Amino acid sequence: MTKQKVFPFTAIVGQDDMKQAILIAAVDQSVGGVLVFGDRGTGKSTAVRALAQLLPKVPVVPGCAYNADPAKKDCDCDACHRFHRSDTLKPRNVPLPVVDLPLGATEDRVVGALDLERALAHGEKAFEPGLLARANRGFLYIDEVNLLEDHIVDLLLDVAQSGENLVEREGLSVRHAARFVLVGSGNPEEGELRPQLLDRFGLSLDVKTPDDIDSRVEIIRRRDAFEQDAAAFCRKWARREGAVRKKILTARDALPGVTMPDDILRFCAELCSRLGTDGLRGELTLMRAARALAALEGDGRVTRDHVSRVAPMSLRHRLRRNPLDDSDATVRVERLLQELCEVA
Amino acid sequence: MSASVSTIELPGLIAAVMAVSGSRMGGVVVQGPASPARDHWLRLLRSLQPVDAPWRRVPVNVSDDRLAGGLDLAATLSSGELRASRGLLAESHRGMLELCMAERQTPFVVSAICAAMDTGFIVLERDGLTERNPGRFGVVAIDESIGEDEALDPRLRDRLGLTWTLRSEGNDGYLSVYDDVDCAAARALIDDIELDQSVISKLTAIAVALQLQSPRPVLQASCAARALAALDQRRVVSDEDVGTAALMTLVMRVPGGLEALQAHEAQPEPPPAPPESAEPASGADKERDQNTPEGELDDLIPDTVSEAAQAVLPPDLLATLAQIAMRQRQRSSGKSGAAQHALQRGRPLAPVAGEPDGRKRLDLLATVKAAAPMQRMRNLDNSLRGGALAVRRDDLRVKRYQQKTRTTTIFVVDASGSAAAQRLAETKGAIELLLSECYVRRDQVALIAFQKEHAELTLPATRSLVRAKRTLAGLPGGGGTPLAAGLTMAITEVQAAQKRGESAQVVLLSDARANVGLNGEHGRERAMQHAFGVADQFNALGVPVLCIDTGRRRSSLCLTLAERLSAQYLPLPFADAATVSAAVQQIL
Repeated sequence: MTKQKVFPFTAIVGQDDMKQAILIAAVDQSVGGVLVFGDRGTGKSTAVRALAQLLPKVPVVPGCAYNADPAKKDCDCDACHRFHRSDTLKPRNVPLPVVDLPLGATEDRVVGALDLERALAHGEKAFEPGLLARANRGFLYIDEVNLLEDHIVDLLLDVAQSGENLVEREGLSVRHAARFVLVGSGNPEEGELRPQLLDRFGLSLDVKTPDDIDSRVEIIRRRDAFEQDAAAFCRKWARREGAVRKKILTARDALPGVTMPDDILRFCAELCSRLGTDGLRGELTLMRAARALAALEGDGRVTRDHVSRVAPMSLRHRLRRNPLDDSDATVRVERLLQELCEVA
Repeated sequence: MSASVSTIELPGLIAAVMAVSGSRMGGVVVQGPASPARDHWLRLLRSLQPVDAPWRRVPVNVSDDRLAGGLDLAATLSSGELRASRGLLAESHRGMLELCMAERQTPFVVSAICAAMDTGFIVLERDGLTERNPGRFGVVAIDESIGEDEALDPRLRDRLGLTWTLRSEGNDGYLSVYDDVDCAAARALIDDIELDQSVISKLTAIAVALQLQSPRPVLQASCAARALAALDQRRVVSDEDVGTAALMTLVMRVPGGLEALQAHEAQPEPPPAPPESAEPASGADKERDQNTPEGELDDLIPDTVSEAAQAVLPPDLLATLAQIAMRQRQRSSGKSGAAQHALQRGRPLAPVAGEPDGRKRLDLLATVKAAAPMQRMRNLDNSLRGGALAVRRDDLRVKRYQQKTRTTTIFVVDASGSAAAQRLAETKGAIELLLSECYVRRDQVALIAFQKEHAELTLPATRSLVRAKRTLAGLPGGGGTPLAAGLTMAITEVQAAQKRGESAQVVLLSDARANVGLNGEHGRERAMQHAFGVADQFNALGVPVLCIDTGRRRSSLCLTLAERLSAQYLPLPFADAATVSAAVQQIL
């Protein structure tokens, strides 16, 4: 099958916040997902689909449907058993998966279900893994996430929370790891997102079409060049793509060594408590995102500056909704940041 | 001199450009009712396609699996192994997909088409199947929408480059200067056409002036410019190509674009004033026009590019259209989504026996389970079947979903002088509160405000808090009390909601002191008479109504009105947003 050329990540004009959020999620998958809301034609899905080209390769057990890590013996499938018994089998290096969840996907394909083919032809009861299995250790992308059917949303919430997919249906009882980064995009004018789902996303952003003519012209120029000759365009951007790929890899390696001074932790806690975010998820995300940003920039320790830069995207969707306060959530976060910085 | 193309030649050119650029253009929107002219145009487009290019029609009631592909039931059951059927999307690869009644297509259909257009692939994840098929097609969207409450889904509109509006006077002699041989030659050439950076600047400037936010239309316009050059067997895009491309992609996209263009043709010089015919301007529109500061228009287009951009279009056309576009935007910012949320949502219930059809999907597993115990017996009957599963009609099971009917709450608000601005502010608050509380239930809220001489649908049915806030922020108050007009519009909205398959409820906030009648004449007696008359019509709809008396004192007038409406009556002289919201939730 012909492989479609994907528009390069680095060729996306502007939208620096969106690109940064995606890079942060690629460096530290535990930040818990990215939600991109915004106007039509702002390159939301382009950016996510481009991410797949940048992700580093990781070792997996060959033949394992759940992309199990050979270093951990946490998978219970036949392929993994065979691998761990054998001395000759080598792990396979594959890029982290980015799995697209189409809007019309049925429940059986999301969680996995009875393998119909084997049931029909051989009368065997076997489990056929679904999209959640394929997305394990990688990214699960949902375009138009605000239009997703409710019962699929419930399912995702449960799995995203536990990191484990438990299938109890059609006489099957299967449990497998499903740790993935949820990436969603949508247009807010088409409907709201349920607050429970909103909270599952670590980072959230609002993207807009650039206003200035020059950027708009540049967007069209690059897109036009891409459509005219995709292969040549991708070659032209290959060097920059390579640089970003390397940056992600370096940052992933450096991440465990990045230190988090106590006063920065206090700063995070104060931000969250002053903004009245619910639960501890806000603090955790803020901390992890700041650390990933520091790693991306080659800094050994997290500073207030790192925290301030990721605070709006980490916290804006966690503020208690006050319908009578008109000010934008991002503005509220930024206002407080300024206030705290003046005190300091 | 450029853009010398006339509106007579335009349809033929659009067909040729579509035939040349196909999936890269996204598609074409054909606006207008069924007519010989439309059929003729579609035949023309078809004749310009390569001979073997597929052309598939998507009917308005297309089933999910027929569109995107799914389980091929017959083949699966007879062979005993999973067989997928290709859907219309995959079948139209390298050809055209015609969308009948595009404005009525469901959000699922639109999403599936948009996803395929964005990626060039059709990804299938259902009924035990995982398939990925190439699907690059041009979309021919037949848009028959009439009036404001119908419109093409904005996601689809954004992805379709060309627009053609059929004129009612009919023209069944569309001619194309280019034939299928020219188109084939152009298809071979189009990838080699050079496009100067200045072309993109010009097109961007025009798009900005026309208030087209998304970058897609400009991309589509540059694609059209390339196609036009290719049709002429030139390797360089000329200014004339740019002008014509801008007309067929950008200008036509603006409602009233064709009329404006025709008006310019009718009287080429001196440059005409904004044509009255372009938009039937009501009193309100005229007022807005006067409010639009001239400077605002100029600010939008930087001088340097604007001159170059203007040069490729007929003189003054851009200014006229920019005004129309701005008016359109003010009137209906994002109203598009009205009919968009009719997704088949729901929680799966236990399957029941029955035969699948367009609406009911087969539950294969349940069917197989039902058939399983009978296999031995049936195989004895029919030894020829071999290893295949013997399924009888009685075994068929269909899926069921539990689905809640969504409710649209329509607020009809008295914004007259007697109701005062304070009241209005509280109502806005109540609406936002209700919205923020009910979005989990997927309910919608709409707002009709009446004041001065008429009623206005200020907030079309929405469950988007973002949009509600934006609209409510600019709602003014003052003037007379045209109660009858407000109720009339509420009837229209209730009917629209019912047409969408939703249930409606109405909250009327007024002191019922009507003083403006249906046709705008003043006078209390006449106005009340009209109001009661409309109230009786309203009663016939049988929807729940809550009548909140906002007068300082409880008035018999309002009580009578509530009786005529069979409404719950609630005097709330000092209501605040929270009280109103609580009352609505409790009573309705």
